[in-house]
Amino acid sequence: VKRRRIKFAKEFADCPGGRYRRYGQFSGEAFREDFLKPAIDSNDEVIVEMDGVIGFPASFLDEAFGILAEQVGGDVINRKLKIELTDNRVARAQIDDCIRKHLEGEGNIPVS
Amino acid sequence: MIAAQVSAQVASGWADFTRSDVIAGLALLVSLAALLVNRADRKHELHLGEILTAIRELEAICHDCLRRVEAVLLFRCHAPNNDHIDCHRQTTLKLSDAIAQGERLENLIPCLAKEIFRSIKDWHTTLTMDYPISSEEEALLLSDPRFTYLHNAQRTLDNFLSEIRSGCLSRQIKFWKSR
Repeated sequence: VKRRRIKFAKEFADCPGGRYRRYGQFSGEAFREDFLKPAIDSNDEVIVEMDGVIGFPASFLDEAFGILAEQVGGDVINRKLKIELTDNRVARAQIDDCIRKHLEGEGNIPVS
Repeated sequence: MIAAQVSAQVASGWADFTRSDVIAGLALLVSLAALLVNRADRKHELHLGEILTAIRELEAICHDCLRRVEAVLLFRCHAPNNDHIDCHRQTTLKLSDAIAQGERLENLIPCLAKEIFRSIKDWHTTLTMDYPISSEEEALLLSDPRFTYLHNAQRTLDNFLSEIRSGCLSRQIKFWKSR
């Protein structure tokens, strides 16, 4: 099994930003395009370690995980993506919510 | 004859001793029960006090978060020696404080833990759904309808916390009435 472990706080940011790259550094779009999507495309399993982060804006999570779910589908998400996040129950629930909403086609409509 | 008298005396003394012992025992039990009731009342009072304090602190933190989020969205958070990224970082820390305070309240009222968690999550989701922005060009105008959503989310959370507070107080009144 080809596996990729992403240590979020170390490899990306300990205080992620907003939705789009144009909103500044460490955006959800950047995380999805530079880390998540390539890892999902080239591995059987992707483990994202997300503990030790100050906090996650819902915009970031929606753009990173919600849009990823839309792009690759629920089957790939269930099979490949594992999230390790134990120190922020709200963010953990928000990730599940946005994946579910985007898969059901009722994702949050981002402000462009 | 003398032996019978001594025996009667002993029996009578024993009977006296038993009676006074029973009385003393009963008195001890009554005072013990009063002490336990008093401690239970005190514990009840302290618990209510803790809940009300936790709610008050949560409200204060959440209102502070709203103020900070608005400032970031308006690109107006430049305190001296504080750049926009610092403001975002401090706001994120404050939002984490709100989540932690919500967890403390969940622990104080386990029977409402699910509702408290959901309320904090919904509030946080609405507050940060378009947060943060990073440049003046992206800043929202004061008339932007998204500020209405933020205030509605805050109002919903405030109402929920008020309901918990009044629920706790009315239970407390019932408790004291039943004493």
